[in-house]
Amino acid sequence: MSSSRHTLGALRRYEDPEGGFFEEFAERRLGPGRAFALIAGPLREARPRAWAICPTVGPEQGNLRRLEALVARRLAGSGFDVARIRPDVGTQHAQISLPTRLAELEEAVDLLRGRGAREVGLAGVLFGGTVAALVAERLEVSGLALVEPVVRGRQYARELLRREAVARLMGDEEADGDGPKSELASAGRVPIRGLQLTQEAYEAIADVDLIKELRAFAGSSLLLGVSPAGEPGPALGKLRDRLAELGGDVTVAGIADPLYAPLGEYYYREAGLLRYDTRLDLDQKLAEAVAAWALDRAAASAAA
Amino acid sequence: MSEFPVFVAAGADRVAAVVTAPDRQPPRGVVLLLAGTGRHIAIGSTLSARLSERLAEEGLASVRLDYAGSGDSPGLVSHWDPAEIAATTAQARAVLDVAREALDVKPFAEVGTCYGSRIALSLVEDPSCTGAVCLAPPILDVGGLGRMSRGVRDGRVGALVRSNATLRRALAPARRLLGGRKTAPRVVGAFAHLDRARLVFLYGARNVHEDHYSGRAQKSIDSAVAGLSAEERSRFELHMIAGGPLTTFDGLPPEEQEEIVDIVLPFVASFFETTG
Repeated sequence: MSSSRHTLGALRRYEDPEGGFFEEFAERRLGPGRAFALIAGPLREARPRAWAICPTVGPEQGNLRRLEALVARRLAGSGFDVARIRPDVGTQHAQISLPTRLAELEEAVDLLRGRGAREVGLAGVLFGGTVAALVAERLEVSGLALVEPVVRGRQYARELLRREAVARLMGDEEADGDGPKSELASAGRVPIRGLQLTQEAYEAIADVDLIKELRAFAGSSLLLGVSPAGEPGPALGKLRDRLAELGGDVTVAGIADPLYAPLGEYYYREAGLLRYDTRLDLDQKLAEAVAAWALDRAAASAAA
Repeated sequence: MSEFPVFVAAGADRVAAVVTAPDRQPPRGVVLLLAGTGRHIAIGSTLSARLSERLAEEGLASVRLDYAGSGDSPGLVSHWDPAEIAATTAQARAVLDVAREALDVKPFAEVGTCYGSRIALSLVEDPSCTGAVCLAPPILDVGGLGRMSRGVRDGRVGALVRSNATLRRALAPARRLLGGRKTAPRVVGAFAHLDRARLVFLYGARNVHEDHYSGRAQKSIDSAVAGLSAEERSRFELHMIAGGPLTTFDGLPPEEQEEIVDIVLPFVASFFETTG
């Protein structure tokens, strides 16, 4: 076993000389569900600020893994160390759990600091961005890069139930449109596309209101919106106002995309057995936008 | 049980994979877990991650992977086609070889879902392969004419036809002709190895159409099986199981996921009965 451990341990890391980065599975696992931690970093000396990318809590995390990987590689190629959290599917991860995700992100920050990062910024997409903002309030972090963050948890929690109801109806399952909501109320738990949502977890998510919970974070932040017109939505405007009110330096930007499916939803266009990826272009644009902003902030910080 | 997350090179590609080794050493064999191309929360899919834990309890090692361009594996892939599996088969072969070499174990079996089952079937020819469980394997390929017609269907002309009932009726015979589906050579090709390996095909009874099980697919299988000897036939099983669709395992309720794992596991364990 020790020789296999050695052989496989040597394959934890690879280097991409053309992209100027490496990726490596950390030895340390994160949080109560022992999520994998994937580190990406530059092949040259890393910048002082590192980034941790937080996945969302719901089933949409599966549709965002490639985007998070692209963001990590673009940041790493630009000189930043990056940690991303890769939940596995032990008992903890069969559930939708905000506390689990918060613990994982806090440990990811600790991991980066242990590797020498002097500052840490947090990034996330949809509710992953929300978790990042919540952790920014708990820990001393210097930046936030959020793609379409969920500002009101109640809206997201309701959306989880609504999407499950729609999926059941489309899947010819014997269910009415109100099924998941009443199931949660009566049984205290309901499966949401393969993940268990308990009443307690629902309430924890629904209680989140970023406008109220952001009280101290005054670092730099990027708020990215995606829409066919390229205009950031009104929720991002409210979040921008709150972050600016706290003294932060806020950049808001919109990216235009026809959005074959809403961000976080299944994004393949199916033609019989063939599946066409409709998200490649957008994912690359988002990764580029985050990396460009991070570089710009790093330059501004160095100049100051 | 020990888990080893790794990056494995396969030609110009590189894939993220997780090798799971049981506490009992040496393992009785390695199981290659091959996902479909949908939404996967875990590296290699939820089914693969769940199975890896349960297989370890059976004294079996396993390896699961994200195909290049998906999940945590580098690369960009614009489309997925079950008829085009050369690159992903090379990736699967590479992670399998790494796991077998590191754990010093030769016999292997496979569990493939949808697209992944095509890869599994293409590796059955390896003399060390003891068997494959295929969940919702697509039996038929879209032929050349079918591909052309799909291109038209998905374009402006297709939209016009779909919006006009008269045009739809007038073009129905042509649609049937151009539907152009044929039995995938790799599926029936794998039957040639039933003298040694076992094959199990599983489909979900609910939404069976989403599991690619059509009347035409059934005829193709019946015809392939008819040419087998009695002994070979005994090594092939096709089961319709409750629930599904199996193509979207990640989206099924946790209890149903567990039931499917419970069905798959004994088949896989039985493939190694003579190796332990």
